[in-house]
Amino acid sequence: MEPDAKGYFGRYGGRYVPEVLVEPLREVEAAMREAFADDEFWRRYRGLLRDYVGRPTPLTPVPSLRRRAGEALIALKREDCNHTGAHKILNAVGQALLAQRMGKSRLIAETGAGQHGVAVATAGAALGVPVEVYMGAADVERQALNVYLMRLLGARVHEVTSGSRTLKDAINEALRDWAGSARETFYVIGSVVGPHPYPWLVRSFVRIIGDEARAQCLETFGRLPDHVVACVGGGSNAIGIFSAFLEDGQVNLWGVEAGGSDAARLGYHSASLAAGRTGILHGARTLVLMDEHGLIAPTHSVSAGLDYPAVGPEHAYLKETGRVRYVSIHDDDTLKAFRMTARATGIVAALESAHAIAYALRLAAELDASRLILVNLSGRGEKDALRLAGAAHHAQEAAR
Amino acid sequence: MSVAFGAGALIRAAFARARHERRAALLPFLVAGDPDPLQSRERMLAASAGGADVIEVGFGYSDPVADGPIIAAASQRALAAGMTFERTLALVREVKSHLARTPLVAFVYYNLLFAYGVEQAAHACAAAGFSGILSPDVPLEEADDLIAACARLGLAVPLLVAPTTTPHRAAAIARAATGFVYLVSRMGVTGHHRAADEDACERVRGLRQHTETPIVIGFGVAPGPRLARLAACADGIVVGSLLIERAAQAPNPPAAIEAIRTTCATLASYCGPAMDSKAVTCLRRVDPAPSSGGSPTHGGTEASQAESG
Repeated sequence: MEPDAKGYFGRYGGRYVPEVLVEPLREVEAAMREAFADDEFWRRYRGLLRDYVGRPTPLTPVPSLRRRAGEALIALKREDCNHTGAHKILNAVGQALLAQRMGKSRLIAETGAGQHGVAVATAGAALGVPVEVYMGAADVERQALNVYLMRLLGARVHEVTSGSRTLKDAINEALRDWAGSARETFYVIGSVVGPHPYPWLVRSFVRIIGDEARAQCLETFGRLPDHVVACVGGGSNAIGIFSAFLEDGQVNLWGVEAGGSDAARLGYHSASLAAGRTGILHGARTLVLMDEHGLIAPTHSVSAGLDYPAVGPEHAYLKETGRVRYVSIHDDDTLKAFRMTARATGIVAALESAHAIAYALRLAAELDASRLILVNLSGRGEKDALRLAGAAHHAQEAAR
Repeated sequence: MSVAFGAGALIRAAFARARHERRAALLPFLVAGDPDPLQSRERMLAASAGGADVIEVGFGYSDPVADGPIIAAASQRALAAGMTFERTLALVREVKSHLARTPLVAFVYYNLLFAYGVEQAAHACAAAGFSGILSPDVPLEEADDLIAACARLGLAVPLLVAPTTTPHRAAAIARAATGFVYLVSRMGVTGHHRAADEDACERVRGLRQHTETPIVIGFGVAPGPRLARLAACADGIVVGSLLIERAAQAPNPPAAIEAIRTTCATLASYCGPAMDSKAVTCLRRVDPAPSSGGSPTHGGTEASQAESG
């Protein structure tokens, strides 16, 4: 489904931005429509995905990943196998190509955990475009490895000290930069969030995940999965895999949010779809975690990539229509799934993806062995392993 | 289409007065509750004493995306002081009891209105004494609800025009805006360290073909010959970051309040009629002179004092 002319998915979406950004967003929309109608653009994009990013990524059935014999089979869509280790590169490469087509000479991006920042720094290095990344000061401290990588790749990293010093403030700062620089700068947003046309633009670059996975399921199993499970922060990997199955009514779609340490207390989780109210954040009308006065609430998750107080507007719409069901998983169950997956399959999943695996394990326990559960393993977990091992300090030293 | 009655009429009267005096109106912007409600009230009264024709009252918000670091920091100070939507309204009610003639315009990010309910929020703003609501992250295409809610209450809805706005779109914005059209002088976010673009006046002249509504210029405003040139072509000048920074840098609360008053008076002096460069130089020398102004009175007097100086 495409958003309507004003950029809405049902009641969600739109373009709530300072006037100075309206025209730049229209330019992005016009360029995007033009590029999407041009086969040469897609040829270039798919060529880079094949030759540089390393696609298609595998679909890996993991019969060993079940708590008991006779439970449903889980298959993992291996987005950890992308260059840079997560699905984020699909979007970064796509937007960087669009920016180049528009003649923009500078890329800016926000990043939370650093995955999107690294992806944009990578795309910028590969295509020869300078990159500047905004990152909350709190995240700079927590994600020293990715800060080091971004700088290694030639990007400038700006530490954001305003607000809560995390992802949402990094987005604010990137938008402020863009308000002053839009003539020469392209803003590469990192998820299916933000003002129209970004949620649609980003989805268009990540939907290859679902397209591949659907074909691979048919090829490997001769059928579609019964359930598709993906984690949801801003929601790009989930939209990526869900997009291909929206029309397949028999396929159950599950979005898994970060339940944090307490999914019932504002400030202790990041479950915008479960606990948010309709509001405006980062240019879109969507479900937002806010306090009773309308101020954006602090969030928490063990995985930095899900730690965001809103969600892409299309997810809010898919929740409202009931096509996707959204649930949440707590930090401790996530960590259990993270460890269990490593031992049972030899795959170190990102903590973000471990939320999806944790929910898939729950589903599997209720289903018999004839059932198939497809999980989007959105990224690899080395970044988390480093943190969990308490080794962040050493990387921080190295980054200096 | 302008509002024929109600609170928005105060805005029209303020611009009419300034126009009658052949000067640009002065529109100081302050964040309500910065650094605390009591001082904030005094600062607003001081802005009026310094010559404010209209006061823009910012609501503290967690994510002020259109604002540069100075106003963003003021917003955070206000929140730290416990300001909420309701407390801002209470503060405005109090300020308004001293400033019956000065229109106050709410400068409020849309999520605060949205969370409150746009209709109810507009009612509450009108009841508190506001004359208009400006929401910096609501472009024309998303402004229908706000405009409808405000129109019923006689509240003005000023809209912004930016350097990136195409002429066709600017004309539509100018026709839809009520109270005043806010012309953003340059790219970027609020802040006086990056000066207004010189071509702002040309854009003002372009807009005048499409509307009778007063046109004000904001972003990058600081005293100087450039300000005099902008004031000569516009109906009003908005200044926020400069005032807030001067107050924040003052050594104590009374000095901060005095800084607001004197800075407003200085700015007002550049808004005067037929300003030439000689007059500007002369006024600048007069600027730091201490004022005898005691209790805050309505603006205009201070401005004319400065002009005569």
